[in-house]
Amino acid sequence: MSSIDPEAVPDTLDGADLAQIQALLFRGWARKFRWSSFLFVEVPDDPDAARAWLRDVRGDIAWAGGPGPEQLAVAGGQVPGRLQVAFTTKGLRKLGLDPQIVQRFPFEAKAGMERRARVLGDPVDDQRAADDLESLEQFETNKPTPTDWKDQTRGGIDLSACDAMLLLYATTRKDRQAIDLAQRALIKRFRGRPMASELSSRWLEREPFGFADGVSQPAIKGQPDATTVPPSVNNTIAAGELLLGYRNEYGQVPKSPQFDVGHPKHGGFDVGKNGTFLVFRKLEQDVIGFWRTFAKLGKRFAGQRVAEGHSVPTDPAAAAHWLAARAMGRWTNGNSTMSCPFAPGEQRLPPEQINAFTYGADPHGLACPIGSHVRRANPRDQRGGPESESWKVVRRHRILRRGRAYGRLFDPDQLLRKLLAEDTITDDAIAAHAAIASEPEAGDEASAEAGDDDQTRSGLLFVCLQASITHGFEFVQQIWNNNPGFHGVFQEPDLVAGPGGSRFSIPAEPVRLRLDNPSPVPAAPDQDEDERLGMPRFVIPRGGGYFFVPSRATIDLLVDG
Amino acid sequence: MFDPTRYASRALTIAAELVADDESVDRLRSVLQVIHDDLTGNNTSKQKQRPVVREGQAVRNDIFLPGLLADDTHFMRFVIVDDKLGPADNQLPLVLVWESNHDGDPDDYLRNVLARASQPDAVLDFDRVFGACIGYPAMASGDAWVEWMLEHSLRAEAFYSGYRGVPKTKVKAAGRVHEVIRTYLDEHRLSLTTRTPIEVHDEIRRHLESTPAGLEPGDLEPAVERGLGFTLRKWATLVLIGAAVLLLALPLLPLTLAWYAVLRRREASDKPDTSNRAVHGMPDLIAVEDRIVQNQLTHLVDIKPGYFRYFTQRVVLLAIDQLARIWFVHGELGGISSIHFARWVILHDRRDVESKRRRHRLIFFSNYDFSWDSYLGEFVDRAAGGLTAVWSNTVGYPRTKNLIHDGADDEETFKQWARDRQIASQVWWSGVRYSSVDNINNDIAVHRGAVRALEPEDLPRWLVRL
Repeated sequence: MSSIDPEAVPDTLDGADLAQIQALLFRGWARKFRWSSFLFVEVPDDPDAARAWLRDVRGDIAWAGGPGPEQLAVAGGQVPGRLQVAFTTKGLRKLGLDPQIVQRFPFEAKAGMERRARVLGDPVDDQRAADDLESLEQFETNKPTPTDWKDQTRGGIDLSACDAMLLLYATTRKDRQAIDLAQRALIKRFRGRPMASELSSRWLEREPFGFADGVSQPAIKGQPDATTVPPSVNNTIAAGELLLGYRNEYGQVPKSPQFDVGHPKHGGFDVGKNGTFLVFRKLEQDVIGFWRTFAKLGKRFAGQRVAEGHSVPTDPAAAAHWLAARAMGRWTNGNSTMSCPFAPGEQRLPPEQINAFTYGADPHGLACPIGSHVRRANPRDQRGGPESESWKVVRRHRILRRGRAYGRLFDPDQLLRKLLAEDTITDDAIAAHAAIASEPEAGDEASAEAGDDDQTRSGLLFVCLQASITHGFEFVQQIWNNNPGFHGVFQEPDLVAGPGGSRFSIPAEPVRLRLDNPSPVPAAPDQDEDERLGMPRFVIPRGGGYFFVPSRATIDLLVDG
Repeated sequence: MFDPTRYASRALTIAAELVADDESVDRLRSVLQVIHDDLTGNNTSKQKQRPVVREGQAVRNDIFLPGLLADDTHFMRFVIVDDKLGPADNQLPLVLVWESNHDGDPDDYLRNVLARASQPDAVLDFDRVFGACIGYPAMASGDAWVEWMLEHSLRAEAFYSGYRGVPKTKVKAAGRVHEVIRTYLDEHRLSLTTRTPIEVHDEIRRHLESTPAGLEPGDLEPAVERGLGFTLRKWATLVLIGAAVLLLALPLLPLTLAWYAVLRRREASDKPDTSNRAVHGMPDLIAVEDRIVQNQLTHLVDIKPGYFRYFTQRVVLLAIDQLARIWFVHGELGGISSIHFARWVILHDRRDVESKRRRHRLIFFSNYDFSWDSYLGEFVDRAAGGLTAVWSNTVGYPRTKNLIHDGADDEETFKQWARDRQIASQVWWSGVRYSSVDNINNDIAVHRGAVRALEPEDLPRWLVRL
């Protein structure tokens, strides 16, 4: 590896770089393109055919610096839309990228998500995983591990053979279907194979449990017109945290897969530069189970004193909200329990206030539990040591989230009302009553016949971007969210998105509340009491993969050789 | 002055050369593998233990470890120190290391182990492990065994403990007391909410004294706190260091400047590693990681040849050792609160060879919380300078400046260097597999506060610990 002086490499984006970066780094298109499909494909085995396919796709990719296509081709015309593309290392190899360069990709990108199961807290067969690692020569196939997390009857997807992921965005459901079909046809035409199309529901800026999502996102130094709200210094991170080829928060330039300087054709070309790594995870959410649990807990804890002059609300629905907000770290409307400790507030705080809080005033978690989901995922000034040191550490582990919800969506208040009224009501009966109907939109006539997206389950098509998956997604998942000992908590991983099976403490005065499973399974012989009383698991992974999002120059290299 | 906390959570490192006979070494490896498999079954907490049947070699782990070591051993490991990265024309013999974090005087500790091992069935296992070492006397030889062990024990140049001075029995007692309080609060929270903090504390004390289920005799005696003895020692050390600095600063100034000049020259000509292996792609290392709350690290590296680096190395370790004894005694080392036990030991090269072929090696043993990445990352985030001061004296370390600068700041290169020189620990056992250092220190504080009256201003702080 050539040694570069990190000081000579910028940590701030330059306008000129933008034309090289896929637009997803700066845009989630949450408002403009509310419908999306994540299409996974196997590219043709013949590298020439694979390159020809990519040549066709290339013209449709939206770039941060523009100009990009405003319209995407569909059968019989064009519709407004956006397309982004990402590859597994196997896909890059099949597209003819020099295998030696592919080997220079980070280990985890080559190993794939399933081999990192233990790190991620996913179900894993230990013996199989160990054998698998022993025999690894090429780390480029996502070999499946024999677990049920990809059970297709539950919407599981197996991406073992996946080479590329197309992220497709549209303004209407009908357009989304047309774009998806056109891309499926295209890959087939080149003798590749379209795999799953993971279709989102219309983006309502809430994740399926009903909590406002996307409140806190990092901004990149030098990012153009980031948002209407200027991000705080601590929320603005070095470009090298999200893109390869820049200085990161360690003041270093991370290794990037590049050609040797002496390479006859591509000497010194940095394949990674202006690219980023994408993590995709399909996360099923047991929305009814979540609110059923909190409805029962709400009844149990309603009215209990939690601080001088404050109690859990006496109304069971409000109590359920109160407890769920403690587990999440924010109310369903998006307000932090730091800003609104005892009640959600009349309305969602304005954009310049909603994310402007720290945990410094609450070292013991009396307003926002240390173990709550959002405090774990971004501990801000309370990750230990002086504030500035905490921020320094936290800025080294930020990720940019670009996920979408899928399946049927619920209004949590309606759900709660139903659950509290009828104790024994079945999930199906609740679903029929409380699901939010997909309201028809202008130009959405085809929605009735579409029948394309899953309306029996709900969840998140989680997508995040980072320059290093180990520093980003894996770290946040393993060390912060799933860590049963995070920041001094004892045997309590994240309640909302973690593996379940543990209790959950909510700091309060004079002493804490502790949630346990309100419907414990009957005791079995030689079963651990802690296990029996542990909270249920609400989020179940149903498949996923690690991808690389290349720059324009790298796509050109793949297409043109 | 007597300071009882000096006799708990200590470091014993036994290192003995293995006979140069492949067959015995292979046999040792398979014995260690059996113990490892047995422990892994235990260690993966809620998994069912895998049956251990290997050609009649089954080790009765319940006797071997918990029975032999449980009361006075916090962590322990067996490591075969090989020399894979050493130069082919200057290889060092294999060494077996037993690293134990134990309570009490080493002599007493070993005698306790011996006494427990003389129960039927148990003896064989230690003998089987050390049997491949040169000159090992069987446990049956009694005193001779203890003497041999002590002869082969190496001094830790620097030793840190996350709960220094607290014996294992008290760590466990604190955990049980806290658990009993948790259960009590779950059952009685509603009635407690109307009470004042003082009343809540009284109720908890009363409950603990009512011999509730879950407590063992003696559990209401918390760990001894550091007393006058510790304070005196702390200030005596500080005064001594201060005086030495004042007295010697001027006379030694030329020497110090000369040392610094040499250091800068050496730093300019050092050759950092240029390895490009995958940090996470080492199957034998990562296959055993991330199974319980803690992980372990055994790291082996040559000290740079010559007296200069050797001398500097020892001074740095001495300084860290003193700081760990008197300053970093509250559960954190330079801002890192995830280290249960860590030690640096020098494996001296005592061969009768010319001095430039002599290879002194620095070996680092650590028992830490959470993942390898987060542990090494914390070093980089919070204690890069101290880390670099230690390891910049060893071969291949990323380029440094002024002994403490650069080096570990280059996070990727540092982690690469650390992983490249990590060696597999064949057997590793944790006696506290559910608890982080923070958990243990919190338990200890809960324990101390639960059995005595607290000042009203201390009560809220104590109550949020529960």
